[in-house]
Amino acid sequence: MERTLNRRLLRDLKANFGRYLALFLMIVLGVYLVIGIVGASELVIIGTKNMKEVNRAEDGEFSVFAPLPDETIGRLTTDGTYIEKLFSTDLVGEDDSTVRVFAVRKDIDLVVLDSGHPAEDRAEAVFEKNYAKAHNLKVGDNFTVGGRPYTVCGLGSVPDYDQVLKTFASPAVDVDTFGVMFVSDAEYKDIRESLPEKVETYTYAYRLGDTTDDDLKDALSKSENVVLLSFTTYADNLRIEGAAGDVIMDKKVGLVAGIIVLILFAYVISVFVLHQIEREQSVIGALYALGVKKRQLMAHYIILPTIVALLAGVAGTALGFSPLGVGVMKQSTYDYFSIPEYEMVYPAYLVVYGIVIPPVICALVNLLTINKKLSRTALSLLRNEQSESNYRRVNLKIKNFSLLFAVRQLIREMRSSVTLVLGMVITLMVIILGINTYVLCSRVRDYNTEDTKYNYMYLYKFPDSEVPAGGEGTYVETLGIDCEGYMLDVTVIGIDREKGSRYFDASPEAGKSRAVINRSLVERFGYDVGDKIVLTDSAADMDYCFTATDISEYRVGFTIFMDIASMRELFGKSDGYINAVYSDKELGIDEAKLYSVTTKEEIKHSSAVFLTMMVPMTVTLISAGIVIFCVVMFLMMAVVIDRSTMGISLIKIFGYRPGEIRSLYLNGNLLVIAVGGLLTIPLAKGIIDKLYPSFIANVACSMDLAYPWYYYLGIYGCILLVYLAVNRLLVSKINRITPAEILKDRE
Amino acid sequence: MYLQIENLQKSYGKDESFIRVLKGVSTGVERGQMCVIQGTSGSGKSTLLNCVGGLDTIDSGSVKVDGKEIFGLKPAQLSDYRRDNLGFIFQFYNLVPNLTVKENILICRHIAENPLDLDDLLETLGLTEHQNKFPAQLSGGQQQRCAIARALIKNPKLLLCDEPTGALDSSTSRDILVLLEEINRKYNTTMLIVTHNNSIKNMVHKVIRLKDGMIREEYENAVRVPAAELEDL
Repeated sequence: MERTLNRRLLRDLKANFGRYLALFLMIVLGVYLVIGIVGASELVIIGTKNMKEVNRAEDGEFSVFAPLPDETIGRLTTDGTYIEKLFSTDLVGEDDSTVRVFAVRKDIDLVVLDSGHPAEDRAEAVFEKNYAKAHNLKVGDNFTVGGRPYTVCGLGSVPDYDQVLKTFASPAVDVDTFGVMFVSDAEYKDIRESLPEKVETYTYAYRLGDTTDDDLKDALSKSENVVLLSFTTYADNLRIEGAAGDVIMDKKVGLVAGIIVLILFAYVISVFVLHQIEREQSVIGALYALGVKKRQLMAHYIILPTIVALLAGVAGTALGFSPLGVGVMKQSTYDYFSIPEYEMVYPAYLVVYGIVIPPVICALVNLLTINKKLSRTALSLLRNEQSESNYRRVNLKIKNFSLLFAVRQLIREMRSSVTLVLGMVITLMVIILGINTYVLCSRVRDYNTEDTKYNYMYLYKFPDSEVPAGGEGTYVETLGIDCEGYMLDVTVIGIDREKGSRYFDASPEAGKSRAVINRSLVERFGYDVGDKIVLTDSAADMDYCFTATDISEYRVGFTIFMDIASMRELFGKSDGYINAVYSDKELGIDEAKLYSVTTKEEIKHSSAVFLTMMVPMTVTLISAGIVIFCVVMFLMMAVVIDRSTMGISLIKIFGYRPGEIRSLYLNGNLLVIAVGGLLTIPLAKGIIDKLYPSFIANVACSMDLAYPWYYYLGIYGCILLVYLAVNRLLVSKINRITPAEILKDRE
Repeated sequence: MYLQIENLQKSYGKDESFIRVLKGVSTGVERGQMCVIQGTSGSGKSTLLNCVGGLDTIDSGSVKVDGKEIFGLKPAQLSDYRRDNLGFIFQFYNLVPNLTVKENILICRHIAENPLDLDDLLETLGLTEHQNKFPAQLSGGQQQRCAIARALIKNPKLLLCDEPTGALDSSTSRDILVLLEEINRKYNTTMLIVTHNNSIKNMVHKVIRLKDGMIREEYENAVRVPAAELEDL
């Protein structure tokens, strides 16, 4: 019995091939989109976590003014803490780039080689992989650094330079101008001896024994003859786990896209199935009347869409985990961050998401729909009876027939129209998610470039009170603000109230708890003038509360501006204390005094990097979103037009002309799409805008997601274009059917 | 001859599923005549009706209505032909379910050049009190009367009826046939009625019996039995 019944399946597939193909495509693309984005993020996150044991990643590092005496190290390691020196010196490469040279590490922050072998010979060097790529270096090539010729013996990466920043204050990675390399102990010793002492940096990396970061820092601070320059824990180190931190946003966007796509699956499949079942109503009734059991009918109707959903899920999952999915999505991370080639990971939840969820949704929706249908009598199904609510018996007093008909049609198709519009909202959310990401990144790039008025920013390693000629000295502190569990940096900049600033448009009031907040804080946290803002000094474990007295349009990161005198008083600094200088021209400050120099060009470059890194995800979201939108429109419109096919054929029989048919039956759909578009674009935009702050919870940046008017016009125009194309496709199909066929089918 | 059919051929499918439904049908119907087409299932009677109605294409032959050849007309021309000349009545009524009785009739009045008076027609068909009801609120007979009104409002010269009483009980069938008879008399409408019912042949002017796509019998009734007196409906 089932076997005979199931012979229909292939025929059904053939007869409705276009629709099953559309359903298949929608699921493949949805699953591909989510697995591509989230899978690439998981690859980096899980890879970094797993690699920690292999590369013996540090728990933290500190820099000191002079090398630690052996007895100090001995005292600090009695509790099992392991400390290894990671001394380095910056040399100039043959193409004028800066190369930071390290000796081969022993048991911490080990180099993981992609190719080649560790440096053993004096003339051998291992280069960081992205620097090597940017400088076209391969294993076996020769490269001169600091006037010394080296043969590239290996290419790899280290965990403490996952983000190859020259300093912690560097705005972005720039492998064209900075890289790291590793030489043998003997070679490093030789280099060090050939250079003046002050150019070497004395950094130690540690792995904690039976102690804490704070205790170690305490012990170091209390040690005699130790001048601690910096102490950075694993969590606070910008160079460590940069990639894993960066992909968190991708993962969140991917997961939200996943939920949207899941809702879309459930929604489209339910509409699809419901429509199929309605079309088959009399067949179901006949089979039911002939004694076929409910269970058999359910199994019969569930099997085809479920198999299609399963195959699509498998195809989407395979595509998502393939080089076209994860491979493409991970590339921007690999281009920017220096991380080893992690082994492919297949998180169970993603596999379940891709392979199990689509058929399960499909089967469930089918079960519920058919079960509901079969609760009716076989006779009612045979007669193809419609429930009274389907026709909403409203008496209309409209004289104009065309208008009357259009209104009737609108009332009749209300459910289909709502279905269509809801489908539009869900798919538009995926597209808007992609556009928002592009808009955010491009705005961050633009604001960073436009609002940075200085050309040079000098941060002092050793604070001074003398401001070099041509510079504007100020006092800068970094505090933190909690954003959904992430502690994000907020820069506090002191402004001289009398002189004002050439570079920052802010007029703070005097007072230790009064500050001007920047526009980024307003956009992200909704602060306004008069609001209280709590900022944290994590190192000192202290909170500061400020009242916002004004808003500055400066949008580079999170910044607050204080009266410099009040700021010095608040943080216990002396009068005239400065630790930063801004200028239009290069000031020639002694490099030994400086912690970092940042140019406007570097800020521009780093801002552009932010956008570049997001391009693959943005392109994938928008393009997959557009295709999914087209497919969903096709499926939904097919339902709407299917429901009108009989009516269209009937009035064709009466002699209605194509133009008249359009105005009676099809223009109503255009109206639904036109009005629906006007409603759904702002609705989808509003929903995604509300969700968006949580995607960038770990990024300190402005959040201006407003679209220019032509974006809205473009999206709206595209919706209408897609509608017209889909409509043409479907209506031409109706036109090919002769009225006689329709009548025969009906009878 | 108002309707002139010459050597009409029509087939469906190809290769193994090829079937010739009409195998050279030639006949004619005078203006104002009621003509019944009879035959068993698969004899080609509905196909013949559809070809005359321009609802289906013709392989070869000729169909002339009021002297105008419809074979070879383009879809838009066929549409105009139906609009200007024809009315259709179907076995299963094919009313638009979300339109009231009156609105269903208005569908056809909307495209008619010289429509009949709506109120008169509603009165003639006994639908005045039901005009604001929806099809689902009507009985089968009332629905078919609504379908007839919809077909007649255009004042068509040719009325094509495909099993007009096929879904009705005998009493309602008689009412509908009486109505058709009245309309024929009142408006001189030419009617082509496809039916299985053997009694209906007695009320019409002409009878055509099809078998296997060919005319087996064709005659005119010398004496017609009024619809009200038909037996075994």
